[in-house]
Amino acid sequence: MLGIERSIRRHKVIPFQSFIADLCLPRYFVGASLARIGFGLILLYNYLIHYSQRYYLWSNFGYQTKTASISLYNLDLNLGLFDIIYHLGIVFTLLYIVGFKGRFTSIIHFVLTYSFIEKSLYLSDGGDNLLRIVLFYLLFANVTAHFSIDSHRKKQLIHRNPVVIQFRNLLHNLAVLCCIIQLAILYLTSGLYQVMGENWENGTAVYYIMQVDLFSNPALRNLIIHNDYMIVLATYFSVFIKIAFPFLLFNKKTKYLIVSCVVLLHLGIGIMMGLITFSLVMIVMDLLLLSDNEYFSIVQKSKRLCRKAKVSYLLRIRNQRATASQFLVFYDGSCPLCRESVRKLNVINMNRLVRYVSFRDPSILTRYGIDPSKAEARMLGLNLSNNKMYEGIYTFAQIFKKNRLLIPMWIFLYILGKIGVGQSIYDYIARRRFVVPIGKCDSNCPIR
Amino acid sequence: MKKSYKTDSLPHPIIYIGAFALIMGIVIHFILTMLNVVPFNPVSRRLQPVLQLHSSLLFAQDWHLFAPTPIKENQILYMQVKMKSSNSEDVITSEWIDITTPLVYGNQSNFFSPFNRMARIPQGIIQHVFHSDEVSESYLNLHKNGELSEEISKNMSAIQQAGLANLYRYTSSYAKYLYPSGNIIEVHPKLVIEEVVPFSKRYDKNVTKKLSYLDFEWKPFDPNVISIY
Repeated sequence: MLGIERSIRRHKVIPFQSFIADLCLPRYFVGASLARIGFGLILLYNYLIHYSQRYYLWSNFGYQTKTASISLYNLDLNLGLFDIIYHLGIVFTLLYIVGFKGRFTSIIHFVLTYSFIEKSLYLSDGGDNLLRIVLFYLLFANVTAHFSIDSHRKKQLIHRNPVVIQFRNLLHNLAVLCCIIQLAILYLTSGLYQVMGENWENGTAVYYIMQVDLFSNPALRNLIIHNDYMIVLATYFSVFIKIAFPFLLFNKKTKYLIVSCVVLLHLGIGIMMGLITFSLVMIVMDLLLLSDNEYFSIVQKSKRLCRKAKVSYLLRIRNQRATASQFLVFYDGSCPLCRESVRKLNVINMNRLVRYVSFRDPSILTRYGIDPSKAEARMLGLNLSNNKMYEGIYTFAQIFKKNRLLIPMWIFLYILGKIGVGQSIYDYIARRRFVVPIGKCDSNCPIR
Repeated sequence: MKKSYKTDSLPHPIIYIGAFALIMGIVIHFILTMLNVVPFNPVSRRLQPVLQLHSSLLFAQDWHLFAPTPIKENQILYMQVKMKSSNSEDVITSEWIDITTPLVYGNQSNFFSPFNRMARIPQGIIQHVFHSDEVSESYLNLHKNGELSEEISKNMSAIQQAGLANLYRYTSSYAKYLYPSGNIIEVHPKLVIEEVVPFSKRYDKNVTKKLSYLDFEWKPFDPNVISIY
């Protein structure tokens, strides 16, 4: 009872306390888990796409000998030992992706990735540079809270000590915060260097970059370099986005705008300049920018949208099916009995699969190529899904078949038709019907 | 407006101490990072030893990313190869062979291929051979003589020599691929720099791209290096 009373008692706190209390809450676990998978997949791609060239690119027997950097690949290794390290890199990247033994795997994965990137020398780019730094920060984060083997295994082993939980949350949130600050520094610095450059200032930098074979997509570069508007727009877009990033990121309303712009920028860089893994690393980094609540809200909204889309899709399909399987009946609009029958049938025509048109209307005859004498002798029906024409008792059979309420009648007519008396009975009734001008004897007209 | 918390949900006092220490560490770390990556300035010059120590192992970074001056040239490596003839003692010298463009074309035809990164090797080597960094250049411009200047020059020279060694390894690996059974003696790299068309002349159909050449010396072929393919 005392505990409950204590828990409902609230008291004011100073801003620092409030800030630390916020940092101790579980906030950025979904983004960190998604980033783990994203970074892991990019690294796995790098390992596998260069698998055949691994000795040439990373061993001491390739185009480079030992480098000055610290890397396992710089040890005196023969090709066998080199292979062990390279394959360990692949295995630990896989374990990192699936989130197995989070902390231990993260450390080994970091050492192997650090070695891999440090030995890459001429192969690496800004994406690798950022990845190496961010993977270090993420060593202090819980990157296996979601979408991992650990998250399933540890469900029963949740730590009960609140101080330990709070400290872990604090470490995790600070690690993610470090990643975000690092990203902001990257954009701000890059933007500052751009502002200093004459070609970035006068809006022509992209024109020059697009002419460098190593950093241009030959299929698309002419679209840019022959269009002054595109050159200037792309150049200034890049500068503005980078400079604006740190300032717009920490506002809830502008965050989504700047993140969308950054993703757009990197998609452009990936497609136009061919810097595939660089762009992917930068886009995956953006996953860290959203909090768990934002992810849950995105999921909820997506589910709602999916449900709406599904319902509208099903409705559309149903309407399409209904239209396709519609049955068109050419009744005699001058026959009061027929008109009355159609009126009554329309009342129970629930699913609107049967449509009634009078063959006395000349436009109907032309449109469907109906022979009026034939239609007068027997009521015609057209199945719109296969353009099959029915007449007399078979038209009635189809009308009944299309209406669930009249299915028993359809069975009855079907049997009559099969034994050969159905059409004769129909003809007998049809021949004896009244044919009068419209508006007279509208109901209850007797058979002669 | 001040927030209110449930008493139970407030962190333990020890958490505040830990958090304060961590946040201070992070603030200092990012101040140093910022000073290390922004354009060279008096403060970063004054704190250079600290900044170098801070960024040496884990936090080395460079965010120039095609700025301030974007790349305005295509750097193409060529090579000549001297081989012993299989029938006689004669030495044959090959034609100039382009050892850059095939990799670049490989990348352009499919970005999702090993060429996407391998195409960077020739240009990376050239940058390594002509290595210079903002800080060292700035110091050397101010102090032509002195112990530190000599040390910086020596370091830069060592880096350039390492680049040069990689240039010959790369050339040898390409020669090994082109002449697997050939008795290669020496390789001779050459750099061709093709300047792009200036923006002001983009509609000039008669414009020719300016070319410049840099010949490296003949050096012995390295038989121990692995073939590029």
